Amino acid sequence: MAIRITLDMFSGLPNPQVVVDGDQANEILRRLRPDSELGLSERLPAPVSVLGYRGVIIEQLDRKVRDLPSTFRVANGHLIGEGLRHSPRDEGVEDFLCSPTGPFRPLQLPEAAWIDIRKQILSYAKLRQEWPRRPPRESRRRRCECAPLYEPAWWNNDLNRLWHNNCYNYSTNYRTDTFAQPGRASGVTHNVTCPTTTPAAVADGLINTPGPKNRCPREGHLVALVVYPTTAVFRDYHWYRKGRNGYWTHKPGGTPATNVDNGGNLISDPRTANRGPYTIFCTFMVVMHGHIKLR
Amino acid sequence: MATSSSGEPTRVEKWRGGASVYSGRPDPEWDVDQVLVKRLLEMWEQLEQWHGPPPQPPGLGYRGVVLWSSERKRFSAYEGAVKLTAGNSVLVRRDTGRDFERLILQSAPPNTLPPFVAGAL
Repeated sequence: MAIRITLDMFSGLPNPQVVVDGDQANEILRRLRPDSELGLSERLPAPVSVLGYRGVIIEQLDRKVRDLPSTFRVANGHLIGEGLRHSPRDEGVEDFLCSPTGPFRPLQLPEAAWIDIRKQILSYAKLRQEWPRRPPRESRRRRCECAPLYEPAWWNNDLNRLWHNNCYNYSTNYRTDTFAQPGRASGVTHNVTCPTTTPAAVADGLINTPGPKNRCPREGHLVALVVYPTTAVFRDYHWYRKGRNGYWTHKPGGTPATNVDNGGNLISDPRTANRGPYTIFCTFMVVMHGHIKLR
Repeated sequence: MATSSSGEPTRVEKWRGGASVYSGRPDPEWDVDQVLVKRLLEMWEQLEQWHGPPPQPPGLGYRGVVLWSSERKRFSAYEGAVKLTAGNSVLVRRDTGRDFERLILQSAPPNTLPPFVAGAL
């Protein structure tokens, strides 16, 4: 009898994980066996796509015990998994699993780590209480049927694509792996101002459309140009694109594509979004798919 | 940072620094001298492990500094967390006073960094 126990808490780093077998595994499973069924008010959703502690995952690696599925989670004092809506037989088992004397002891995590884990467990308990019973829905926005979908994984999960395609690539949905610059494909230069960068993009095939008032075009999709206004040597520009669900997204340089602004909010209008130092809004433009060339 | 083995030429690991600041134009990069690199590597060895998710920079504006080598090691530092990526290995450590980050920023040649970086540290 062997079980893998994972402290599910990290985002970038691998989670702490141990495998225990024999008597130790038997004892832990005994303590985890389902006891009383949770009341209706206790059957809270178990948010798993949150940052910080999310529970302890138990995987039964060989012979499975009766009453417990192959993989399940204990979080906030509740068992969560297929067929499980119960408290564990031992109410203190989660505390034991997350303690320095528990199964993670061989990892020799420092005391500060355990203190941090305790804080996160308390935060998770609070989060679980406050988690909405239904997933939050974006407010209904008019769909832009011709606009690209928001697919951050495609832009972000390949390092070459991530690092070598900038806001201009992303907003036009045109990958070049050259960190494309407005006008470069057409031999037109600009000095990173609205009056010069706009025609440089027009030379690449974008259509300057200053007056659409954030509405979806009938064909193609809408992008927006903003500028960081400072001395020439440091000026920079940034682009957003309006997606199929009506919200705007962007990709700052070689960093990941995102659907939130600098304040962490969804972007309904780049003119009013939190743009950090890019305070000048230049114009909207339309990208007709297949009609542009970037380099 | 010379490496050598018998019969092979000596290789010097070259390091470059950079700041993640721009969106449209490429980010600034510069050479970092070996004395500073040595100091930074020694500093890295003293840093404690970071626990939990590191701070996430905003989309636009200053997003931290990077230091990378010709041997494919890459440090990135932002708001008290330093991440080292080497091959498939990723380590994150705590840079409590942001000293690691500050040293890399200060190594940038004059007139390399945009004004908004000044308020970042």
